[in-house]
Amino acid sequence: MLAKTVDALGCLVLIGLGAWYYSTATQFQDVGDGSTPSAGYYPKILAVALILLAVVALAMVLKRPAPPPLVDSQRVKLAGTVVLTVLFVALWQATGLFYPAVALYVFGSLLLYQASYSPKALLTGVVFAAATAASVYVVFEVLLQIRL
Amino acid sequence: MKKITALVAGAALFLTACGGTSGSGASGEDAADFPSQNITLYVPYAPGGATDRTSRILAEAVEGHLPGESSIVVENRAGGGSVVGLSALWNAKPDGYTIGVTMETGVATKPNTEQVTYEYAGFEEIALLVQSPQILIVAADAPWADFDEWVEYVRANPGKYKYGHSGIGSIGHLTMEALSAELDLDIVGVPFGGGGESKQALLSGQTEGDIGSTADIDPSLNRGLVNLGETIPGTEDIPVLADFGVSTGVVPWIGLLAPPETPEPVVDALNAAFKSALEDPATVEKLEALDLAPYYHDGDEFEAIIEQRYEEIGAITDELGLSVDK
Amino acid sequence: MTDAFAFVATELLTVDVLLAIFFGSFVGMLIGALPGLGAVLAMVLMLPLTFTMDPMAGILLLLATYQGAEYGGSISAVVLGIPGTPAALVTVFDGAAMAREGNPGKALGYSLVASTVGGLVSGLLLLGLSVPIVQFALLLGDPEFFLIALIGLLAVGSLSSEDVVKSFIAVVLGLMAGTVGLDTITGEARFTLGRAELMEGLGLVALMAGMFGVAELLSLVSKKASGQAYVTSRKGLRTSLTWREIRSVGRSITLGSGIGSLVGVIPGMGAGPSSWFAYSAAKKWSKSPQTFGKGNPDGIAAPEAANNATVGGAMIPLLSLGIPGSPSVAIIMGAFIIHGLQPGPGLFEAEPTLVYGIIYGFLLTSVAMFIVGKLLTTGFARILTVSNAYLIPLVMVSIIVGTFASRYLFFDLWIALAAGVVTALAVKLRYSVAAFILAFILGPIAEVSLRRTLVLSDGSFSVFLTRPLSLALVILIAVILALIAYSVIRRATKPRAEVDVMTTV
Repeated sequence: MLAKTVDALGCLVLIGLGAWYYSTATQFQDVGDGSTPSAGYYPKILAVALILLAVVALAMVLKRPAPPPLVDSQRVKLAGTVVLTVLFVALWQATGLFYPAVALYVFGSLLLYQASYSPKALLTGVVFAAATAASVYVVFEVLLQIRL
Repeated sequence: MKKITALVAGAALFLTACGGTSGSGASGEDAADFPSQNITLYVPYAPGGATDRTSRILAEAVEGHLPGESSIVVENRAGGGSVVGLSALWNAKPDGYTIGVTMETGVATKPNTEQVTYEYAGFEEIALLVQSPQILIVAADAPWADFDEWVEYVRANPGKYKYGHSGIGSIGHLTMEALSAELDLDIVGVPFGGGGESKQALLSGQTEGDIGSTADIDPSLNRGLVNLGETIPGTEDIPVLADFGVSTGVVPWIGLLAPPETPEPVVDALNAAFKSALEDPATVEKLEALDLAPYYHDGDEFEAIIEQRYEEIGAITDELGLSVDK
Repeated sequence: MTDAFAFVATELLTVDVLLAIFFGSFVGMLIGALPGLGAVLAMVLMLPLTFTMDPMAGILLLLATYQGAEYGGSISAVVLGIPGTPAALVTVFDGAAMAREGNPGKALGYSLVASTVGGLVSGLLLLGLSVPIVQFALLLGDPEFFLIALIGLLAVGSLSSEDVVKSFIAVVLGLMAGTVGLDTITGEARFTLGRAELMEGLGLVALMAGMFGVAELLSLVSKKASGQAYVTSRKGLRTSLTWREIRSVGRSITLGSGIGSLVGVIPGMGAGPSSWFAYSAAKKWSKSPQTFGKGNPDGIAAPEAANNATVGGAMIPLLSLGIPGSPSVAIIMGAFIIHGLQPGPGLFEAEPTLVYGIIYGFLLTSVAMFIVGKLLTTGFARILTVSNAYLIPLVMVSIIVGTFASRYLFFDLWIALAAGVVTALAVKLRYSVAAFILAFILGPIAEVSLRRTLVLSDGSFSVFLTRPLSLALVILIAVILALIAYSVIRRATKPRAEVDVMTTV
C-alpha cells in the first residue's frame, strides 16, 4: 500500500513542479521584436505537457492495483548507505579534509555491508579503508594531478 | 610534503587532527620565502578553449621565472561564463597560492548583467598579461572589399545583415552592438554556442559574418574584414576600426587576479615573475603562435582598465536591457 | 600515391610515434573507465606532454587518448552499469544486461570489436571521403539540426513500453532539466535559483553519475544477496568472440560506423547523440527488437561502433575547415595551434605529410586501442568477481571523486546524490531513466536550433520546407508520425494484440 501512496504522491509532486516551472517561465522578459519565440515559450509548453501527463498518470495509479513494494529487503543497509554517503560528502565539504573523510566512509560502509563487528572485521576495515585512501591519492593526486 | 602528510592522515584513519591538505601554511610564512609550494591557477573556462590554452602556456613559461622549485598547476573551474571560477577565487585563501586568470567578461560584463557573489573591483589585480585580436570575418567571396563598403551595404539593407557571435554578452557581441550604436546600423547578432558553430554557420551561408581570431581565418574559406581592436603581430594585413575613423574598439585581454587581501609582497612577487616571463623572447614566440601579444600592465593600471570597461559595458548593457538591478 | 604513402609510413612508424599512440590508448582507456572522468580530462592531462613533442607524435598521442577514453567509457558501462562517458550511455542498456547474465567478457568483447571497427571505418572515410562529407556538412544548418534532434527525441519514446505515460513524463522532465541555465538566444538565466553553478546548466557528468551510478549502487544494496559478487564463474570473463559471433553483429557495426561518422561531422552533437541514433537504427532494423535492453549483442555493437566512429567524423571538419565540433576536438585543435599550425585547407597544402600522417596514424590508434583493450579488458571484467561489500564503497568513492574532479564543485556532488536517491525511487515506480537523460541531451540542441532557425529566417517557418535536406527530414518525420498513428489505431481496434505504440518508430 505504501508503494501506491508514494506513486500517487509522486504524481502530485510533478504537478506542483509543473506549476512552479510554468510560473517561473512567465517571468522571463521578452527580448527583441517578438518575431521569434521568447525564452519562456518552450518551457511553458513543457510545463503544460508535464501537468497533463502527471494527471493522467495519477488517474492510472489510483485505478491500478498496487505496484510491488519499493524496498525488497535490506532497509537498514539501504538507509545506511545513503546516510554514510551524505555524511562523507558533508564532512569533506565542511573540513576540506578528503582523506580522513573517505577513510571513515569506506570503513563504515564495510562494517555496514558485512554486518560483523568482530576484531577481525574491524582490522580488515581499517586496512581496506587505508588502502582505498592511498590508492585514491596515488591515482588522482600523483598521476592525474587533481587536488582533492 | 603536504600531500604526504595528508596521505598519512588518511591512512591512520582517526588522526584527523594532523590534516593539513592543500593551501595551508603560508600565512605565518615570511613573504621572502614565497613561493614554497605549488601555485594553483584557476582558469574559469573549460579545457580546450583559447583562454585555457593561453593560461597553460603562461603557466609553463612562468615556472622558470619563479624563485625556487615551485610550479603552477592549472585547474579548470568552468561555469557561468567564468562566474563560477571567479567566485571560487574570491573565496580562496588569500596567500598567493591560489590565483586566477580572468577576461573582461568575468569582471566587467557579468557584474553588470548578473547578481554575482564577488565584487568586480575587490580582487587584488596582479597584472594584465596578453591581448588577442577580435576580427569580423566574412566569407572569402563576400562582396565587400573593405569596411566602408560593408557599412554602405548594411545601411542600404537595415535588419538584413546577420552575423554569428559566441553568446549574448560576449565581447564580440558587445563590441558589435557598440559599433552599431556609433554608426547607427541595424544588424542582427545571432548567438552560437562556441567559435566552431558560428564558423560553420558562416561557411554554410547561414550567416554573413562571424566574430573570431586570426586562427579562424583561412584564405580559401574566409577573410578578415576588419579588426575590432588593435593590430598585433600576425594581423598587420587586416585593417582596424580606427583606420575608418570609428572610435569603437576593444582589446580582448587576459589578466591575472588574486583573492582580496592577498599580502602585497606576495602579489609583487607574482607580478615580477609574470612580467619577466612576458619579456622572455621564447614566451613571446609561443604567444605569437597562438595569435596573442604580450599586453603587460601592472596591477594599478589593470584595476583602472577594469573600472573603465565596467562603466563602458554597463552603458551598452543598459541600452540592450541586459543589465541587472544593482 | 604509393610513394606518398611510403613517405608517410617512414614518418609514422617511428618509435616516438608508436610509443605515443600506445601510451595514449592505455591512459585514455584507464581514465575513460573511471566514472565521471571522460575524454576531455584525459586529453587535458596529456596536453602538456605534447608541448615538447613533435606535432605528429603529439597530436596522435591526443587522438589515441581520445579513442581510448571513448572505449574506456564503455568498460564501466558494461561492467558496472555506469557509463564512464556520455558516449557510453547507450551501451549500458544491453552491455550491463549481458554482464549481469554472467557474460561480462563477451559484452566487453563485442564492444571492443565494434569500437575498433568504428574507429577504422571513420578513419578510412577521413582519408578517402573528406571532401564530399564536408560539402554535405555545409548543407546542414540549424533547421536540419533541429529536425535531426527531433527524430532522436521521437525515438526516445521507444525506450520503454512498460508504462507509456510515465515514459513521456520522463522525457518531459529531461527536456525541462535541459532548459536550466543561461538561455543561448536571449542570455537570460532560466530556472537557476540564482546559483552560478547552474548558469551553464545541470552538469551531465553529475546527473549521469547520480542516475546511473548512485542509483545502481543503491539498488544493489537493497537486493537480498548484496554481500555476494555479480559473477562467480571464471568462464564469463573470457573476452574472445567466435567469428560467427562477430559476423552476427556485422550489420549493426556497419550501421553504427556510418551513423557515427556522419553525426561526428555535425558541430555540437557529439558521441552521445550519435550512439543513440545508431542504437535506435539497429533496433529498428533488428529481427528481434524486443530483446534490446536485455543483452542483445547488436545493442552493444551499434552504439559502440558509433561512438568511436564519431572521433574520426569529428576530425573531418577540423582538418578540412578548422572547425572543432566538440570540446575534445577543440583540445586537439589547441595542440595544432600551439605548434604554430592552423588546421584547415591551408594545412593540407602546407604540411601534407603531417596531415596524411595524422590520418594514417588515426587508423593506427584504432589498432592500438584493440591491442591495449584486449590486454586490459579481462582485468576489468574481473572487477565483477569482487565481493559487493568491497565493491560498493570502492565504486561509490570513484563516482564521487570522478564527479568532483570534472568541475571541482561540491554542488555537483549533491546533485549526483539527490539524483541517485530520486532515481532509485523513480525506477521502482517505472519511470524511464534513459528517456530522461537522452531528452536532457537532445532537448537543448532541439530548442536552440529551432529558435536560432527562426532568428535567421526572421520568424518564418517556411524555411523548413524550402531547404532540400530539411524538406527530406520533414517528410521522414511525417512518415514516422503516420506509422505511430497507424499502430495506435490498430491497437485501439484490436485491444489484445501485442502491438507496441512506440516500437514502430
